[in-house]
Amino acid sequence: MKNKLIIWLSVAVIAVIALVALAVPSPAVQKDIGSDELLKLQAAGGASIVDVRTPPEFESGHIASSVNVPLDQLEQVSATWDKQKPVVVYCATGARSADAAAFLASHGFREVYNLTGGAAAWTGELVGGAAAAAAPSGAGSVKTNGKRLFIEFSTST
Amino acid sequence: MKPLVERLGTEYSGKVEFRTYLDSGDPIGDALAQQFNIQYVPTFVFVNADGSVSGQQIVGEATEAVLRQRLDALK
Repeated sequence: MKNKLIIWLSVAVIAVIALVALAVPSPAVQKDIGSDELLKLQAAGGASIVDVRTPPEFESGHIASSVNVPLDQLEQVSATWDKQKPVVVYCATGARSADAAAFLASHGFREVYNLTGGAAAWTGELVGGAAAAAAPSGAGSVKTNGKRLFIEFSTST
Repeated sequence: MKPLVERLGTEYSGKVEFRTYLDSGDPIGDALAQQFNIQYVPTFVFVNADGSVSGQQIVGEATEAVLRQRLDALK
């Protein structure tokens, strides 16, 4: 009788451990990656590449097979995404996409990658507007007086 | 961003002209913002000496390394 009790107790303990192991998901991955790693993910397939810049930025040239979901729309749009599927986010410099990566990771996405340095540091090809990126409409008429220009649009506050 | 931009402006003085347009109703700034379809601030635009735009706009905060890379790429 005592032996049977021990066996049943053992089975119960193992069952509880197994249930806990199944219930607790494996640790999520949130990682900064470079161009080389993104190229590998692209080659392997299966990862969603999300451009969180504005539509005009996206149209000026983006990473092949990426989709444009501006950062301010990410919460709404990502609600329907498969959280088990790897997601790579990028923006112009990596700042907005860092916020996007943190948001996705905190909302249950299992594998989230942020392209360090964004499109500015991307060494692969940009598609969908390389010509436009080189000379956006109307931009050729900027009066420079022969000088190189750095133009900052900012806020006074 | 302001201290970084000011420091780079000093460093690149004579090589690159730094222009800052605030959301203060400056007509020239407004016209340029419309021309470049500026939707968010800060946004940075890099223009070569011949008036052509160099690369893509940078929207949002940018690191010093990225700004230097883009400034050095100006022709």
